[in-house]
Amino acid sequence: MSAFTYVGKRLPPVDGEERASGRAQYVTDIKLPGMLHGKILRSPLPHARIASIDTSAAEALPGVKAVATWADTPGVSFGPIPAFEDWTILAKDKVRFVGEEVAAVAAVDEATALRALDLIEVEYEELPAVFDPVEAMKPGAPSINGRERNVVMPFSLERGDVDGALAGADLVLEEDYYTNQVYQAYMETMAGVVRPEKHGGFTMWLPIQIPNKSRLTYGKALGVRPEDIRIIKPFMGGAFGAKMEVDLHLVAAVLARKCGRPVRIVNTRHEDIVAGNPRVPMHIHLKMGFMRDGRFAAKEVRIVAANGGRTVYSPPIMATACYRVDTLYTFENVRAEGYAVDTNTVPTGAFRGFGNSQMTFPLETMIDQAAAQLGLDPVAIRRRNAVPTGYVSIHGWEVGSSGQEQTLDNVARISGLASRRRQAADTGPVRRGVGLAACNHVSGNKAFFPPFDGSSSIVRIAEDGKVIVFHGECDMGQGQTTAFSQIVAEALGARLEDVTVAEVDTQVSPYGLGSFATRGTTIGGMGVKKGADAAKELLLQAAAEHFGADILALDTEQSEVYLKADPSRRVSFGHLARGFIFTHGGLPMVAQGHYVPNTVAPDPKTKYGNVSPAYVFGAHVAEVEVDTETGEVRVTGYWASHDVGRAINPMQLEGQVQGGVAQGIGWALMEDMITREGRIANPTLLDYRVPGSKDVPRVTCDFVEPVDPNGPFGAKGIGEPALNPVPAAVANAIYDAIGIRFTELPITAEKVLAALRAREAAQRGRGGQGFV
Amino acid sequence: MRKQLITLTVNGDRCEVAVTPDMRLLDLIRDELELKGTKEGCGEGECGACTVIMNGLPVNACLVLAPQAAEADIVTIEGLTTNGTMSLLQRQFLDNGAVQCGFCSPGMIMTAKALLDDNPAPSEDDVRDALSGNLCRCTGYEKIVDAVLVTAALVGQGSAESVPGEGGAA
Amino acid sequence: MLSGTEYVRPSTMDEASGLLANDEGAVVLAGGTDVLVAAFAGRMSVSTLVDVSSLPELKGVEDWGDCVWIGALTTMTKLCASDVVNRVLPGLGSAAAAMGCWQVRNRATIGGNLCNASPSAEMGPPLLVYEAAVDLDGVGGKRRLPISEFFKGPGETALAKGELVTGIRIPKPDAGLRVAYVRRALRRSMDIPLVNVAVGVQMGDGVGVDARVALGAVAPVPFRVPVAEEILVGRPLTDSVIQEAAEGACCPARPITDVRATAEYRLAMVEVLVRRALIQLAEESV
Ligand SMILES: Cc1cc2nc3c(=O)[nH]c(=O)nc-3n(C[C@H](O)[C@H](O)[C@H](O)COP(=O)(O)OP(=O)(O)OC[C@H]3O[C@@H](n4cnc5c(N)ncnc54)[C@H](O)[C@@H]3O)c2cc1C
Ligand code: FES
Ligand code: FES
Repeated sequence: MSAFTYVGKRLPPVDGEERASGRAQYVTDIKLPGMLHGKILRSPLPHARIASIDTSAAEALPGVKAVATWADTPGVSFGPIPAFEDWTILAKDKVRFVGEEVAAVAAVDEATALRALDLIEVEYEELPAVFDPVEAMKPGAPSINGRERNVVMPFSLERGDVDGALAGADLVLEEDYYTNQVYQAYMETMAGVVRPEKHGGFTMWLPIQIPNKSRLTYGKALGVRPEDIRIIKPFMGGAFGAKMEVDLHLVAAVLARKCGRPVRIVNTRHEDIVAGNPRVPMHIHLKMGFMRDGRFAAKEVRIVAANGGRTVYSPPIMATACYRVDTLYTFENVRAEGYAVDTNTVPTGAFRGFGNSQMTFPLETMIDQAAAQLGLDPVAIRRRNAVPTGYVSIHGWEVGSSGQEQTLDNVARISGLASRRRQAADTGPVRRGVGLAACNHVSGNKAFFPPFDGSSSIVRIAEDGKVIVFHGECDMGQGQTTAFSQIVAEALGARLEDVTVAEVDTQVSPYGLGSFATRGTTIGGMGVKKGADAAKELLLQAAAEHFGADILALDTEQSEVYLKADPSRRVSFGHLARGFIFTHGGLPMVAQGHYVPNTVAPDPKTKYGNVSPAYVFGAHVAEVEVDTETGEVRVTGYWASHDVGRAINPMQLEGQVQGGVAQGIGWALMEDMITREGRIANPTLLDYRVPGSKDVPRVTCDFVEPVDPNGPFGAKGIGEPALNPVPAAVANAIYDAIGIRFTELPITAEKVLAALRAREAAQRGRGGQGFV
Repeated sequence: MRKQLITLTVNGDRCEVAVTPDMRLLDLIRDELELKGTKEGCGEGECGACTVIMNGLPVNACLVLAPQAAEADIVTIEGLTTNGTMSLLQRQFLDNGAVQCGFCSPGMIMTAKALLDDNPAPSEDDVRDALSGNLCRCTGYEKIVDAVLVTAALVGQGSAESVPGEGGAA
Repeated sequence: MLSGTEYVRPSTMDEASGLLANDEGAVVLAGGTDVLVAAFAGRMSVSTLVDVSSLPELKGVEDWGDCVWIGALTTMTKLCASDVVNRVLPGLGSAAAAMGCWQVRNRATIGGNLCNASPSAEMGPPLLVYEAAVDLDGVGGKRRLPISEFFKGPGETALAKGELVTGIRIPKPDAGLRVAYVRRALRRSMDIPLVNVAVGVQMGDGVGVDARVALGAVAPVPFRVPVAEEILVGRPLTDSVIQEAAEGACCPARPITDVRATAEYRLAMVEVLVRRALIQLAEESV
């Protein structure tokens, strides 16, 4: 560790000064000459036929430059996943959820655009609607996208002998769980600024996680080649999975094309909540068999997931929920069946965890329950089934490094788990408890985009010796730019302050997949490291000529090449680069590097494959206080240990963990998109409660560093696993405190109080529900 | 809708701006004065991203009308940089890892500055209380709270003087 | 939205009340934390915003000997910082401190809180317990109303057209009256109370000589609960008396179910909060 100059150091963000000083330019801050303001007319109904749209009054309003409906779009169906193309940029003849884009206006300012929206007359014929995916699968349910039983994608998988193992198990548990719909609540709402270019192309400034992949989708939607769309991603105010393909970007493009001027659209918070891209809610039926010694005999799961009115990413998210946890433990017998189902609700997509977080809640609560019933320690039962380094899962996933056992041991140690448990004997209305939950995750996901996996970079040494790194990933605020800077500076022997990591601009950045599946540090990091390695070669070659020495006699540090035998003889990168450039007619000193992971896309039928170059593990402990009179749960302590392969920047890692835990606490206890007849009833940040500074405890972090063979300097990912186990850890702590298991998220005060009162009533020997 | 001329002080500069009744202080700052550091996260007082200091107190610039700001003294995030150097508080936000995506940071920093101006030695509870109107979705708040506490401690030790460009406590 | 709206800042009461009386769509603008949110969201149409911030008659917190006068424009932050409030009306100070968040408290005025007349208004229960009166002034002249007659329903008050609240007049309670304010919200800050409760008890010779219990957010307006008060008078503040009063307080509560909570939960919280407030007072008195 100490051999590194930058890797492993608690460094502040390299681009932090812009952010902290207010100079950072986000999409919402961009103002182009001639720019118009766009607003979207959204469906007020969950399911309806559009009988007619009259835009004439809106068009006549002074200041309005364009009004667009479906007729102004290329009219093609498209979607993020080629197999489920059920999007149109603006609704054609039917709306499928409240908030669906029906028409749009570009005007000289937002107020005029808003007034114009009021003048658009849409006649709807309401259709019967269905909101719950289980209901939507039933015969006779209204058909939303014309799919059989509204099923977008079924999923099934079986390995080993599940029935036999269940029959032979000492304990079989079976339970229904529900994980609710929650909103990413990034602080910068969805936005886009789109400028029309000649030949029908566009330049788009977008807060977006996957610029290159989105271009494929957007090209199809707009009837242009993906190359005709240039996407620039400036500073970005958070995403957490939501900012993949976003229809608003296309609406802006349609308006921009129609009026020939740049158009800016920024969601209001209200729009962002009702028509965003929230977490896939899931009904999860879980059945597990356990042996007396704690071994997991078998696992069987059935999932019904709500897709919403059109398909974003619920099918792969549902599939992920079905089987990613199979590599959390050494499962041998598993069966899964899942359905992503159309519903007349807001379309659902990725949110930190991509289905794995949904499934971790039932799995880790059920394991807790089994431990209690078998009289086993919660750490011991998990260790008993832990995944070792070198393990190959039943689905073929190759675990190149695993620090799972240490994460369990460490979190137990730093939290003082053993001594904190069973404090349920407290008197007074407040009960205290602790809960443990573990998690796993990937560091990249080949299944997400099977045609291609990997990453690349272009590293340019400028004539002043500064290093500019171009890549196709995306920093959405998680600190990727800093991690990449550290990796490049370390690999190249450059000074950190000499390294600039360019924002993604598809016109100059190499192709990259972007930010999802916790792949940035591992796969993206490898891509920039390979580029840096190649740039070092170039510099060494130039220095070899300079010194008349052999390449092997040279090395780099502090943006200089030196003779290993005589470190006082040095030459700066700048000197070498100038020499190179001037003797090559101005040719830039550029190196390229790329990384192709050893991943294998899952077989479409058997799902056998190896989706990620590296797998991560973590274990969390939550301490809660339950007020038994109000049902209020407070998380009073939190400890997290994560296997990160190698900590590139421990301070940023802690930030990821603390942020993930805060989001997880919100999900576990207070966040819920309350939907009534397809309408979100709490579309404000006042009533959609994300935790504030007084709602979350300090989080003590620990990192285990087994050094993965496939990560840059051994690093693996952290983003999603930071959140995955939180709801289960909190739920298990609540059980420890009051002896009641909750199977539905969020665990609100009302639910806790109702459960306590129901138990009281049952103990008094009379049935009864409610509070009084 | 009538336009009216108002004067106000923003980051120490007297400005005269023509405002309309539907213009918010936030619009005045961002669109008229082109100070884009102040962010909009909700437009209804619920996130704190638009926090500026008005007459010494933090307020949500989305809930103040521009004409209400006539004669007011406003400090925005841009006002904390002196001669190109950030304040100690901003530096501590960075050094303590309190800035991730940064969208909440300008508002968060303004509230924190107002707190430290008012209470140079706050407890952790004081800090959490003061910042409770500023939502952050990235950090889980811990590092933000630490940044404020560390700044207070440094100022308390008198090291603020040694920081170039440092005007005032934070 | 506010497009089309006019903005005026009158400098005299007459001008202000004239504007309000003659313009159907004129609305008072104080801190704006309710009115601007509603207007931006299109829940309220406004022809003219009458910014009352320049009216001296609405400003100040004053100790008038037998009563405390609080100008309508007094913000929550100023209430919390006021010596006389903290000394004489601590229940009001804690309610002010509990509202929203710092940025909101720096703008939100006591007058706005009353005139917005939300059933959950933070100031409702404590002002009921302190038996405040509201000073009104307008085209019809000055008048004064007990706070209990001011609230008429959600968003509705006794304000006449062209009338303003100038201030709140609170008789100084007997030094022996102890007041507690408690609320239950779903987040530890930035949240509207599901139920808020103020209780005041004065003990003499070991028994209650004066008892006041007021509830918010569980009926169209905040209100006093004589049933619970009667239970407390003439009896010691024991656990069983407290419990009886807490249960008694639930009888007149008629909460609604909304996105924040069910009616049943709110009702359950009335009992808990009244009990906790009384326990707090009982503990203080030993
Ligand atoms: C994020 C947020 C959190 C909040 N949290 C809480 C909370 O926890 N508890 C709570 O109770 N409230 C809360 N509120 C609501 C609001 O802040 C309070 O009701 C506040 O006291 C209103 O005061 P104001 O001065 O801002 O009123 P304004 O918005 O200016 O006015 C409110 C109403 O009163 C009228 N009015 C104002 N002053 C007068 C007067 N002197 N005479 C006649 N009419 C007048 C106005 O015309 C308007 O109808 C919150 C608001 C926000 C935005
Ligand atoms: S934008 Fe003003 S508080 Fe959110
Ligand atoms: S740093 Fe992203 S919201 Fe706070």
